[in-house]
Amino acid sequence: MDIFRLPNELHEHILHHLPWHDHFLAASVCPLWATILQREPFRRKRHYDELRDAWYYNSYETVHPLVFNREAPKHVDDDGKEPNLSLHALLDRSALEVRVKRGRAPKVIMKIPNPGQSERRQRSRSGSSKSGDEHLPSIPPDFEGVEQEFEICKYNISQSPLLQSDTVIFDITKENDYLVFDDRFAPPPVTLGTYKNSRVHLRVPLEYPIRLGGEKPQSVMGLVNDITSYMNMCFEAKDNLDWIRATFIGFGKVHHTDELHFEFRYGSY
Amino acid sequence: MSTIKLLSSDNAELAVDKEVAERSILIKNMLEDVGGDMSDQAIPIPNVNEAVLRKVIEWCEHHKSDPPPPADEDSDSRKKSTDIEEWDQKFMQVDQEMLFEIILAANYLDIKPLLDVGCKTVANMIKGKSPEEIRKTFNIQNDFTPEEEDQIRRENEWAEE
Repeated sequence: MDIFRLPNELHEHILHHLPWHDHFLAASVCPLWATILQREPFRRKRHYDELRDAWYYNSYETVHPLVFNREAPKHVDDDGKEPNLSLHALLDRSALEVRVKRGRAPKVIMKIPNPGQSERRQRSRSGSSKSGDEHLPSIPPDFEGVEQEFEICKYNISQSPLLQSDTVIFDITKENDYLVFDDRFAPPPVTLGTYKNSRVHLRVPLEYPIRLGGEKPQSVMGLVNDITSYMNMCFEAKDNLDWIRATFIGFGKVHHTDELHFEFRYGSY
Repeated sequence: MSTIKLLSSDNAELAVDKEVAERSILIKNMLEDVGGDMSDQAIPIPNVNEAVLRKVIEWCEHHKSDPPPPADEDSDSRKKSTDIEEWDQKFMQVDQEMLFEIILAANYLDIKPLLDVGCKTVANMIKGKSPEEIRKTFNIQNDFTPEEEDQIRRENEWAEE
């Protein structure tokens, strides 16, 4: 009896136990394994699994030197255009926007998602039934009551220049000390604020975005490095009195979900 | 403690503690279906021969007091590592033929922890080897067409040094 008497599902089961760097070698062993290992869940695992365990919630500074053997690719200014980070949160519903242009104040606009369209997860609210949700105003003129409305809003940001053709999801939760801000809610001067636990879920595209350097890094940390630098590059604004910095703070807990946690800090010069 | 009988594919009858046999979800469900009374009748296990069945029972004996595996299919502990406890490592020191038979039996009998141990053992045989070494280990022919090989190389090259 040889290994090919095992049904394909068991091959999958076996390959699941391989650390990601062995995937590449195993994929060149035989066509069956190549097929299995090119599938989406394995691609994800590759970028995620073991690293997650080892570096869960370590600071970026601690993590980086441990992991990577290659510098993140140089950033390419896309055809000389201004970097323009436009996280069209809710492309379909315009609930969150982060717009940062050089020479201009970063602008993060949040709106209350239209309940009818949003994927709103309700937490520990089950007792008091909120069937009245449908009638919530979509955006209070003065942002009053905003905190109450922001439970967890899950934004699906596709077509983000951050990762072209990728899915990026920001989760913003009430219990964290985020601030809702737009122009009127600009970061308070001098103090240092933190947006904790802003999560970016992402899938690594086959074609690596030119904005991230066009060259795939060797591992998920290389990718994180790229994204962080890209975001920060976008956040830079010459005449801006405020600053925003994104810092990678760790991986998520959900198995087989590509999930990165960033902390956004802001302050004034 | 009640005992039940299992009938292997080669018609060997093996007596097992019910509790031990119930490590197999398949057998457990069967017993539930018939109301637990199988004392006079052997349960046929048509896909598993005596030698393999004995091996599987040995494993179940040793692990009979383990907590049941988490119901969650994707549970972390199950997939993330190739760590195997010492007893299981020794248990799995068998030839490849037996190893694959055990995996098949664990799959058929629905004994997830044993299936995991088996698959991890195979994964450990793959780990850290070159493709050529892996082929040799499992006696696998290189069935790739040159085009396929080329494509795989391209797919993966960004991750290789």
